[in-house]
Amino acid sequence: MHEQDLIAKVREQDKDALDELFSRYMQKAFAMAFNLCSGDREQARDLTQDALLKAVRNIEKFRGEALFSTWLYRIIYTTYLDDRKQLARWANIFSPWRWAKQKGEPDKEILEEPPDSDVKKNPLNVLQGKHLDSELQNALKALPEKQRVVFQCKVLNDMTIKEIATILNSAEGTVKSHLFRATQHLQKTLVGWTYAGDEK
Amino acid sequence: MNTCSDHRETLFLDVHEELTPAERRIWEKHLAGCEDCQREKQRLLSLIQKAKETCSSPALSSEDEQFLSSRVKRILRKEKPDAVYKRLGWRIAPAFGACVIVLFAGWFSLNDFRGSDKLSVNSGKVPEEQIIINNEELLDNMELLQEMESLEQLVNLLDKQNQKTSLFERESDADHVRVYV
Repeated sequence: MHEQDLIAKVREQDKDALDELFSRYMQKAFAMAFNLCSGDREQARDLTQDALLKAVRNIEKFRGEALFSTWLYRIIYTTYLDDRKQLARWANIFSPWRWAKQKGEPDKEILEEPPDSDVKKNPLNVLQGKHLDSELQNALKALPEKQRVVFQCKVLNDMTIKEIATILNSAEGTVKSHLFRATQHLQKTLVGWTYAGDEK
Repeated sequence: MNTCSDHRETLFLDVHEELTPAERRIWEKHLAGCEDCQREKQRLLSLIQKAKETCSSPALSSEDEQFLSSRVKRILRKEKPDAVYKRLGWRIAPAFGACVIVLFAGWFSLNDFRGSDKLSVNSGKVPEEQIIINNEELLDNMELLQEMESLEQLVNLLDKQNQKTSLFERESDADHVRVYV
């Protein structure tokens, strides 16, 4: 069934069409949510659910100017931003307790994963070991929000720059710039690994 | 990094497959003769490939998909009446207002009509109906008429008695005159 026909049937509250819509886009929506939530599966599931709910509730507003997937990704992104704002608000409210807790307890993350300088210095270790995965994850997390989202959308979700610009409500030039900087940052951070092939 | 600085952005766009055909033609000409750029392109491509392998999201299991789908549908089913109300609320409100106004206007005009009907009970009736109504009025006032009749009889009787007494008085007066004469 063509996308437009499917949307028209969902608007008419056809149950089979709704099932078809979910089966077509749920995996894609979850993949995007998973990347936005930096690999938190539960959070990604909740985000996918909220976004699908919003999409079905507002299906009348979908004008068909862009692909439905692009429209859905935009909803996922805005829902993610709203959730983050809400979390930040709560974090601000409880910040005195958080600070007190942080003062009392040492940072577990630092103790559990000490920075292994040798690994960075020796690219062979990076290539052979499991550290590259976490290095890459950490490098991605260290990116500014927009750069990370653009890189994830482009590399992990195979979107075009035009599509990303629509989702982020930004100009294509801005998206290109974010993508350029993100790639450059990853290249610099993982310099040992990227040059390892040359040394071989 | 030994890439040609002028082509750095083009190189990044190339590895992300975002070059236009015209840009690609120019870039490939340069790439054919520049070993540094070729090496840099290979490094970036392997970095991107590694990022895809490492960070790509796991697929949602069919149970998870089913669970999410049914949960979304259940929520939608629960909120349906409210959603319909919300969607149609603003459209229904003016129509509802108009209906209320029409009902009030109708009710008031009906009351006015009834009032005017009460005032002109006999007007516009057929003569036979008029006669029946008159007869009904007559029957209602029968007792009053009877009372009036009995009163009239009483008055007549009193009048007659008065006349008799005055005649008697006159006769007695005449007798007195006769005696004195």
